[in-house]
Amino acid sequence: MITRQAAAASLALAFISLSLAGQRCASPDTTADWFRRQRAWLSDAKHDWSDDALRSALVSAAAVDVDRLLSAQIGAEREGEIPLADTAILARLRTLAGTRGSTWPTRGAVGAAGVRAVWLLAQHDTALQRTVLHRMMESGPDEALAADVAVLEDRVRLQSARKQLYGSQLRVVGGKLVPAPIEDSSHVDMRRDAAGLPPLREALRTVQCAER
Amino acid sequence: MDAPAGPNILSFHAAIVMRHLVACLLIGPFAAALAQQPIRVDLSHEKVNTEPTKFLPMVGSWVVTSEAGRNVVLVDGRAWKKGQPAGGLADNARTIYGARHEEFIDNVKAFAYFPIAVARDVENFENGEISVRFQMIGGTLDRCAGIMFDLKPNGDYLAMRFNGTEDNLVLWTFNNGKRSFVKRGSENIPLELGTWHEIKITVHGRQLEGFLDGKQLLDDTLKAPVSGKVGLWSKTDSMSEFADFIVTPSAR
Repeated sequence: MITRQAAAASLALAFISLSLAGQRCASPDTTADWFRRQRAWLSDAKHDWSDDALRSALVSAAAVDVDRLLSAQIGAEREGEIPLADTAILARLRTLAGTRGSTWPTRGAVGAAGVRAVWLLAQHDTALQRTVLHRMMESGPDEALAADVAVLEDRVRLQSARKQLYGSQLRVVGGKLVPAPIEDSSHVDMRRDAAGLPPLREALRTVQCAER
Repeated sequence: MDAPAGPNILSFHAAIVMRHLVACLLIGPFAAALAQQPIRVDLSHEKVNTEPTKFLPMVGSWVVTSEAGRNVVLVDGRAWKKGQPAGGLADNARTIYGARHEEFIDNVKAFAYFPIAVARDVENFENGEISVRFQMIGGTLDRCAGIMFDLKPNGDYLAMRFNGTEDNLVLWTFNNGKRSFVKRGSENIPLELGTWHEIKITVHGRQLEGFLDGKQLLDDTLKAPVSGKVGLWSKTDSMSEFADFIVTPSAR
């Protein structure tokens, strides 16, 4: 079980309403276009994936609860190391990633939950993350959730000592969660919109509120 | 016995060389001036937040936007969807190819992953130089900007593009609905988003060179001389801005 990862994911993906010190925290706007697009993408209601065995292995290893709707990606999470979890499925992913022409677990193969599981598992291996990012970008918007791709790219860029693009990686500065440096910050919300993420300010508000 | 011919022949050749040299010195600058009148695509009179009229969108969503007080063209990949050409494809194809537009449309639809916009006022480009400034803004799958050239009435074309997710300059051909890799630039150069850069190509017969920010990164011998329309190129969901599209034709 990946407890710290699950905690980080639940922070990033949480949709909560909190009442703190008399102030009600706003939930993300579930009527917004980005939310509805993600919801549609994340639904596995059609059961139209092709590799059920791989899907089961992935969701089990990543502790994805397939009986619940997958959480939408808000694109704001606390930056940090995730401890290495060397499981059999990670080894399998590494093999898949390293095999040219191999069938990658896309939405058509393992469903939305399976793809989300790959995304979660990739956090445990820096080298794998790069390949997963590349594969997700290659597979296109029908097969990989653009919002997850965006967050993964931010992680990879920060690991390479580059600035992030979507402002999804947050760090504590002066006791406050703020985005790590952003490249071309003036267009950040345009990029977030393209990736199906809410505006940065809105995402920050949600996470900062959840942290209190 | 005839006098030795050598010196006379040399003098004769020297005279011809001198004559050519003088002709080049006198006529050359005038010829060059005539051949090298740059065509600069002027966006200053374009309406902001509307489709450009100087670049005819064939695939993708193209819009004039204002950047630091001047008009630029934005290809907005947020509206990109697989297999969807630009809304005005039929009309724009008719504008540039008249009665032959249907074949063009069929072929362009096969390349719907690649937004293109044709420079309306450049009738035909064969030799010379094309340059454009660009800045990448975003794109989750791709961050590309490029020059399309050699665009044929059947929709085939060549593209020299920079890809910000790969950090490279690459020449591609697009023929009969199939994209093929031709050549990659000699080095990868990471560019920051939100900063302006320049792509340039030079064409002399079948000889092609590609430049990024003035640095030559690519040269290739094309299969055939270039002849066709030119314009802007992008890929899937890229969001990039373009400015200062300049075509400088020259004699071969």
